[in-house]
Amino acid sequence: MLWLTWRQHRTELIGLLATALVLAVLTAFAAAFAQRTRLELGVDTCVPLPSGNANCVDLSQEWRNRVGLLLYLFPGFYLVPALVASYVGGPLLARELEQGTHRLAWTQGVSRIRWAATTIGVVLAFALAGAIALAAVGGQTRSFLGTPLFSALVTRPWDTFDVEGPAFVSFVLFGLAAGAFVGAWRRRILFGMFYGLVLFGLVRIGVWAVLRPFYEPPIAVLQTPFIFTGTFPSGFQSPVPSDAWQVGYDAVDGQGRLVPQTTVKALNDEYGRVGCGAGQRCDNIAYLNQHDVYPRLLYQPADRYWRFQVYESGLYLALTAALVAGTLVMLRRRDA
Amino acid sequence: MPAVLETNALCKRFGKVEALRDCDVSLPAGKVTGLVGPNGAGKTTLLQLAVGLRSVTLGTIRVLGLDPAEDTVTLLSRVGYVGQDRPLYLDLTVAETLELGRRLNARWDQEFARSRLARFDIPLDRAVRSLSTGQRAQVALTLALGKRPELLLLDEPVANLDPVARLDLLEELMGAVADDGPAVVLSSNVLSDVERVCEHVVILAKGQVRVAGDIEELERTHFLVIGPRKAEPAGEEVVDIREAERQTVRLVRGAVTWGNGDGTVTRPATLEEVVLGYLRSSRGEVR
Repeated sequence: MLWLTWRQHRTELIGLLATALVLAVLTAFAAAFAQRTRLELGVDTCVPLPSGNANCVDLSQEWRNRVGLLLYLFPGFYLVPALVASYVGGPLLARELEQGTHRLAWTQGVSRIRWAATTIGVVLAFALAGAIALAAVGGQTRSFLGTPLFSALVTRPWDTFDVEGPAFVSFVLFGLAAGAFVGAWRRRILFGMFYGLVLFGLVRIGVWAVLRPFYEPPIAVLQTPFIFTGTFPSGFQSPVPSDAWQVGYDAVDGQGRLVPQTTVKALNDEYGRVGCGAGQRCDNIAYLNQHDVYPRLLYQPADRYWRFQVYESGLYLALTAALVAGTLVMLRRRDA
Repeated sequence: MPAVLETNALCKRFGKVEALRDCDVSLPAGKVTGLVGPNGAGKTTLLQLAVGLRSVTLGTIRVLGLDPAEDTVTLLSRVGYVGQDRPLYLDLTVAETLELGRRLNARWDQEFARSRLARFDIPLDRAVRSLSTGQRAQVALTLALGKRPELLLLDEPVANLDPVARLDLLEELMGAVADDGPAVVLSSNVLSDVERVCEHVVILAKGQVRVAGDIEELERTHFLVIGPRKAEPAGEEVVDIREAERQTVRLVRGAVTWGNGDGTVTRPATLEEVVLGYLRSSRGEVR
């Protein structure tokens, strides 16, 4: 059975692995080049002129021109698992089921389970190898961040969470299993390619938005009032560490009980209308504090980064296993 | 001799459609059986149930004494199957297709398979994709025969072939299964093919068996009685009555005993007349 799987898929498997390796090497070189150019130009150490920051923007632009299309390597890493889901996973079993060749395979002396498990297993193994190569260099795409094209939405190390480490590997495997499952379910190549991608995308976005920020309870810090004293720079410091990932905010009262955001908003509106009262200087935080409301920022510190990687990859690997098992059960029971 | 394929009150539903209902067949060992019936009669379904590609809704099916759903792998090492449209991996070469058979089957006769294809001048190094339809049919059949099956199930084995390729394949098939070869069940809706190669026939319509038996036997026991419109049958089993302008044509089973004085003509029925008679009666209409 191994022979048949290899014979059928060898071209795409070798292509897949070769592409991954080339992309990995290219990324390593490109990232090093981008970083070196950045240092040469002094993009990150540029001091704005007193009249504005145009000089720094120009430097940034110059750097961007030199790096060119290599910049797109960073979003490319987001696309890789999605492409694997659609182009490798979607047709994997659907092609056989659509073209009827499964009836040939299933009437030889090999059980359906063995047939499907071998097919999925071999392709997963190759995808794993390719994904590991990419995951190893994915973090280096950070060199492309913090520019006019891709300003970092979150701070390092969290900015490269999706493109490196075990999480990235697990996305690739999950994508493959999702595409294979959906394609096998409807027995249509195009259905598998399209809805495999949709399933993959929905899960990725859902996990990113809903689950990932709260794998562990975030740390909460009180927001401190900021009173402008008339001199620059003000020395304002965010209470959230610069390498942390801010995941949200809330507010508590003096007893530490949560205050509903509607209350906070009402107070903020009130502050906007009346201010702090005649002759008093305060900002909205101080105003809230006066009313026994203490707004807080929630964040995940940098030292949780790799733990979160493990949680996330564990989640996706579990989903992958469930999809593979579901595919096998579905094929075993179903009329061919 | 025990039956190679036996069903008991077999029923297969697809949603609300009954592909087979209360289907009882018992196919004899050592013979070539033709499954005959119009499209949608349940021929393909029956063959797919027999190799475990589909699962039974109600009733039982035993193939070589085994349950296809339970002992699929064991059964498939003893049964050769060529499905409808004769699926093959188009990207594989002919040699690789044989290699597939060798590696995926416990029992495989590589010498036999190779020499069989050599007889048809089918080059082993060609991709299946580049072969003609007739050559592909031979490759598919070889793949099924290569495991030296005890039973060979062929679903429309000569559909879409030109008349010459059709004849070649059927004759070759008969040569392959002659003396000590496997029992064969083939489905077809072309009667002349069935007549040419089969000894036993099962007529299916609307998911049920209309009649089954050895062809010789069917021809011996069925008669066409052609007579005036009002002539009454005399106790024999009338399978089908066809009213024409001036006369009535009846397909009758059993010895015909009534007299000839009333202008009635009786003659033995051909297989085609038997089959058409049963199929017409199953439709309950006259064409």
